[in-house]
Amino acid sequence: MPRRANVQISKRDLAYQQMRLPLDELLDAHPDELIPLDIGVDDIGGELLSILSTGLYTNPLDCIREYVQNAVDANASTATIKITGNSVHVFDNGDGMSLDEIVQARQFGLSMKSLSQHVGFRGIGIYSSFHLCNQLRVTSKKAGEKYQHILVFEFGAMKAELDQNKQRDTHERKITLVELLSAHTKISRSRHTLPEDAHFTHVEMQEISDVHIKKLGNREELKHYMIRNLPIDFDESFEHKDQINQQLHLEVSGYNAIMLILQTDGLPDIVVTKPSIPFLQPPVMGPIISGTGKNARKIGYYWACLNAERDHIAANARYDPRVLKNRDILKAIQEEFRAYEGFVYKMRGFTIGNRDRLRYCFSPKVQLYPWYTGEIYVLDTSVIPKADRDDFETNEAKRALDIAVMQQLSALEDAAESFQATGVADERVEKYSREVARIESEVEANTQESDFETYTQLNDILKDLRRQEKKASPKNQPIARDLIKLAERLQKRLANETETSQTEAARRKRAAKEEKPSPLAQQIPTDTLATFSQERLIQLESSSPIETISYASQNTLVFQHPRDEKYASSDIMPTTSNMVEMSQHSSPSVTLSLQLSRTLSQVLLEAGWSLDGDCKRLVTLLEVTLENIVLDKLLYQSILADFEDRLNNDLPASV
Amino acid sequence: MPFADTENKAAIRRIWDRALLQRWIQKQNCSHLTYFGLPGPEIHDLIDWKNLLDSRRTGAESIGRTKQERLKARDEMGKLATNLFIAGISSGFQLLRGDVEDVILDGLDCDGNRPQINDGRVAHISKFGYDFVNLDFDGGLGYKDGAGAARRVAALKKLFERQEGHSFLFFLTINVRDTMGDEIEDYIRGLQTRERGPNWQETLNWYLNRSDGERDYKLKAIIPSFIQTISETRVFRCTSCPPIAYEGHERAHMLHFAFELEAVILNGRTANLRGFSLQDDFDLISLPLIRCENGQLQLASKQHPTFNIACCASSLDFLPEDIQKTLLHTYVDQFGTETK
Repeated sequence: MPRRANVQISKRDLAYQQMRLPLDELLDAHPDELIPLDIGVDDIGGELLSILSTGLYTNPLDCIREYVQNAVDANASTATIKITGNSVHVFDNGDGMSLDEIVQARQFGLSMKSLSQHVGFRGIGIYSSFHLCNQLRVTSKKAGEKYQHILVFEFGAMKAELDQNKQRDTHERKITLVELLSAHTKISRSRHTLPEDAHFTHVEMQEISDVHIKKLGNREELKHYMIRNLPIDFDESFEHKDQINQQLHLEVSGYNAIMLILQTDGLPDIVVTKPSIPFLQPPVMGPIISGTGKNARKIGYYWACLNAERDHIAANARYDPRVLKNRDILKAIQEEFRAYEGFVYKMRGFTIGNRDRLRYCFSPKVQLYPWYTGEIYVLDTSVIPKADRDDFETNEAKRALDIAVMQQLSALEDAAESFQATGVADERVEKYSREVARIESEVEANTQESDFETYTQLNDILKDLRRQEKKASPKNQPIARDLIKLAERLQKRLANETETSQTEAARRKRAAKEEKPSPLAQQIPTDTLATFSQERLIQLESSSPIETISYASQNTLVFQHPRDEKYASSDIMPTTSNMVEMSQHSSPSVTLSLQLSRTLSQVLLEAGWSLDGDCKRLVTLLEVTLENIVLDKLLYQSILADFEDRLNNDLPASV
Repeated sequence: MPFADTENKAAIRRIWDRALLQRWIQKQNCSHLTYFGLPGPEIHDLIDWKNLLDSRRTGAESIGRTKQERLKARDEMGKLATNLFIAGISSGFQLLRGDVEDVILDGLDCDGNRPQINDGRVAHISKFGYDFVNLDFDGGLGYKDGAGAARRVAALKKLFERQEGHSFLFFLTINVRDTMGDEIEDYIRGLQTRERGPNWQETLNWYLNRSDGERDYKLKAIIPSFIQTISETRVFRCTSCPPIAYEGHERAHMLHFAFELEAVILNGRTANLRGFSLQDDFDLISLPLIRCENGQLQLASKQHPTFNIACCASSLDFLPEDIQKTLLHTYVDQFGTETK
């Protein structure tokens, strides 16, 4: 093994020697040493431009994204994409570029943008439309400057030259990248003067091929692509817009959400915004922390909104004002909202991957993931998105991020579970307050069908109320406690009555003679009651916004939207007290659900299950079977209560 | 592609044309007009008439024939688009690439795109439905090709076929220079074969005897008649406004015409035979010539011999009263006689 030269040659000395000595002699002079090998301008072929732009930008929409991304990096608040004839324009009201900046913009693979402030940092984006169009024009003006400058890339001529290059013999000299770009890149200054404070950038792709223009002309695809890949602002009507934006501006460096306008020949403009999903809980926001103690550091920031309706985000499509005007578009809005179910990674507003990527952070059994909509902004600059932005490059930072996000999302899942349990408990308290009120009035009038049955009914209510009391919201907890006391008092009274003189048979006889129907039955014709169960099933299946059906007079059914009138302006759903108040004093209409026993599907839905496809069929089958076999209403209710218990306490079926 | 803006052109656009657009909107009982035309890279017309035009506007821009022209054309198209965005009027604007004559004749631009307002039929027979057409040419009316065909004239004829059944306002601006040769004089001689009253022949002779330097008078005499004739065969009732002569960019002698074209509708359907205009041959030949100099509109000092200022008022009634008065009260004929 030859000895290493013991004299260290500095890079500078070596460069000097390289200039003077042929490589062969230089290698002789430094045997067994790795010496730097200069790459000159002539060593980089023009074909590199074609290779890079094809490799990095496989979809023509990627090019549009690159130019809008530049607009975002330039602090634009609005960007317009216009497709007319065979040209595509991207115009933004961002800072614009001075002469120096526009000259820099043409640099290849060199970017002045900072990794922490901007998404575009590879310095290749301006060439993304190389394969798309024959000419790219960038016109820009910076505020305070007198002129606008126009940078023109003759991509058509470049492509023609590269084609000629390919025809040449292998030993012939090929055009270099520098020669190619220098020959077909031009700049001009416009004499057309604008107000000094005007600032904008206009990117125009001229002479796009028919195939590409057709793809770009698909407005729905373009819209969804842009929403997915760009920091698009929320719709003006979204109630939490300001709160989320304000916080993201504070916490996420370089955050800038823009309004995007799509213009196409012969069609009305589309303003692209993130949809306004109604009835979401106020956002929960906070940092994503990696490590603990001294090693703790903020690597991300998240916001999350939970569906206040305790359902999938898509289910809230039924409350969208567009649906209330035209029910045919419900499906389309559901699809639109579904795209926002769950969480997605964002890097300075740009989406990385899709919302399915983080689904694994939630337990698959409970299915609470789609109840949330939210975003996770990655702040750690060591986490690098892949060029196609479907994920991050694998490294330590990415692993740390995934772990920290999983912890945060687990906490959110717990919060959702607790929210669900509270919701169920509140509903039960409300339901029992009505039932206990009814029983109380029957007992007062001594018209209950059977002391024993009523006693058992109260027993079931008490058992469940004691379980739900702690889970109920603070507002409903005292109501639950009062109800428990009342139910216990009624039970005691019934027990006393059973022991005293009046026999059950005599009381039943009197009740039958009086034929006094229940308060509800007093107001509802029997044929309505008979058909109600069927109507109710239809209502559940169609996800109708009509959730409560009230009976107002002899022949009129009143359909109430769940957020109607009194409750529309309130942050809370009806409580036990106001429901009772409603039924007793305010209106002659009585809520029908008072009288109905719950069904299996209702219990499952309340527990947060989603019943689709085979699952739904199975549950319907079970319901029918139960109804056919279990003829005793009380037994049926007991089975349901037991089932519900198991559901809520997550007991295995074998216990 | 029109010339760059001049003081005269701006005055015509803002005073004369604007008043005509407003009157047409009133007549058609609409709020805005759809546009088809040649806005040019500076889009002066679109900016000046912004509040009168519908968002559906179609502009055509030549792509050039030589390499140099093509480069220039791309530059012009780029400027046009930038100016649309800067002015905030990009929404609804369609830019077609190609000579406007080709777009009218073929129903397509060079990329195969069709004007956005069309009836959906195949391109060669499809109808357009624009409310306003502004053909602001930099060249003359007729540049004949090798076979002697003037494509621009053919395109004008086709325009009325394309617009058949849809009333529209039509502005036509041309350079007085063309290669129509004797065809202009032949047209006037053709008119002479008709008998239209006592001063008819005398008036036509006066136009025929104009020198080459006064070619604007000859064109002023025949263009309204030509447009009326071709429009009537496409069942329009044509009303010509007085032509305006002005000096444009690089001292080019230009003529600006305006026509109101009402589609003749019978029982809710377009009539089949022809339209009959209210103006006859003599009315057209007797229209006054307006001149625009230093941004001021005025009656040309030289008018045809049977010119009668008292008859002018009705053809200027679309203008604001003060401008009408200025025009009529400041007429000084070629002999220096001031009429008040």
